[in-house]
Amino acid sequence: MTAWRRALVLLGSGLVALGLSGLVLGADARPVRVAVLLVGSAVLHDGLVAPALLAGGLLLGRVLPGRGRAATQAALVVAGSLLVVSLPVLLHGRA
Amino acid sequence: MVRRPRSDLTRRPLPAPPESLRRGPFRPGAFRSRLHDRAVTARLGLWLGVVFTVCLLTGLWSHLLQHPPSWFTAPASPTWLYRGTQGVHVLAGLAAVPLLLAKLFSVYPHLFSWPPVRDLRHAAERGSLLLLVGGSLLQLGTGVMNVFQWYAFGFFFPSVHYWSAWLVYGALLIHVGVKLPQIVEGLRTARASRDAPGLSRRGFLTATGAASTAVVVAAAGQTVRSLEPVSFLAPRRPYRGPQGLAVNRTARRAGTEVVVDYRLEVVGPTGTLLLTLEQLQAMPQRTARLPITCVEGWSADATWTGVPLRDVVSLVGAGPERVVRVESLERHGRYRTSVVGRAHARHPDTLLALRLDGQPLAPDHGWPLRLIAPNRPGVLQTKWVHRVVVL
Repeated sequence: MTAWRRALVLLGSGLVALGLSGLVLGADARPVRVAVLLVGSAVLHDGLVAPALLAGGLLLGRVLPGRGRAATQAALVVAGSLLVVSLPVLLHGRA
Repeated sequence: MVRRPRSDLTRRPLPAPPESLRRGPFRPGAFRSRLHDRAVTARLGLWLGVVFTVCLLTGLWSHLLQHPPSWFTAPASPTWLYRGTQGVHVLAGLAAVPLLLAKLFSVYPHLFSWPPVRDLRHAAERGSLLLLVGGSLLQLGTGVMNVFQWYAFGFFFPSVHYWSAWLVYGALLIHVGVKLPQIVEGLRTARASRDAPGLSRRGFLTATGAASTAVVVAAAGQTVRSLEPVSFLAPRRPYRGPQGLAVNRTARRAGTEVVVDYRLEVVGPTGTLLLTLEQLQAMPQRTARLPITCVEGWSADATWTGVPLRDVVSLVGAGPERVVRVESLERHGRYRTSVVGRAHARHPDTLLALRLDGQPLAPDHGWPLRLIAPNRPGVLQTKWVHRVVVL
């Protein structure tokens, strides 16, 4: 490891420690809830969202084997992103 | 015999799990999409790194304005500065959502690398990745929810968002440090791949970029008025509300709907003064066009008329270089009071406003009197002001 990489890891570790200290000891700290939500988001993504995307991709390959597949996939990437960001409005409504 | 310079416990191989467990996604070649590729990952990572840096810097700026340390005085000009930085903060965070999902998609097979843990150093790196991935998802997820004022996550958002930002950015720096050779190699690898039907690497990157752009355009109307017609995502129509201006905290929620026998109490070096609304209206009035800028990213211009704060505090013997605390009639709430720093206190456009667009303030805009100052977060533009204290 070069000095640059070492420095990045060292600085990063310091910031992680700073963040953790604030999340545990700071005012309004809710460490358990934050930890559950942090690990939960990763598990939800890796266990559900990513496999669903992969399965969707495989399915699309079966349905649309040739031309038109790339354009459909690109459109789905854009539409899916807009849908994800709209979830609060769809589930909760506007402020 | 190979001589090792020193035994490094963190590099000592850990026993691998039995090969019979290497099934499903752990099998070699389980993932075949060409999008799981370093050339894609490195580029998405670079874009995401830039966007996260923008979010961190604009976020720290917002934090500094809301919690100024003793060495810092928030500047009162340019008027539009906070509106710009906070608009960029929210839009960059929204733009990061497609980038993050695409990035995680491109590296997904690494989740099932074999053996899962090679040595202690590898274990530490994977642990930091959990913080990076979970922290990023949490940061963006709760951030987007907060933009829509959906507080279902059960913690005080500003505090957790602030500390998580350090955590995530630290984990990001560790990640870059560990992966630097792979990043460089990935960026040097060509994007092109046209061997099979379906989205190419270049196409995937373009689609992700387009998705980020679409999300930004769909939300930007809350900051950029000309984009309002296409802004179906903007949580707020900034120019809809009482007197054509949006409101976050209503008088009903603040418990300030009914105000009887109003007096403004002004406390300063030479004593305490009580001013009626008529007396305030009789003082020289000043009109300024200033934005309300919410931390959630929306902002709206309006024309405010009232008495400059510095004129009011001069009545109790305070010079222009004084720090002032402004207190609301609300009994509860974190933002019941706010502190006006030196630069704002001496600025002529820092008003105790009586009128909005020429009309008396609506109760939701802070009737009878509110603070409005240039370049200041909305939560610090205290409404229903009844007390001004020179500190």
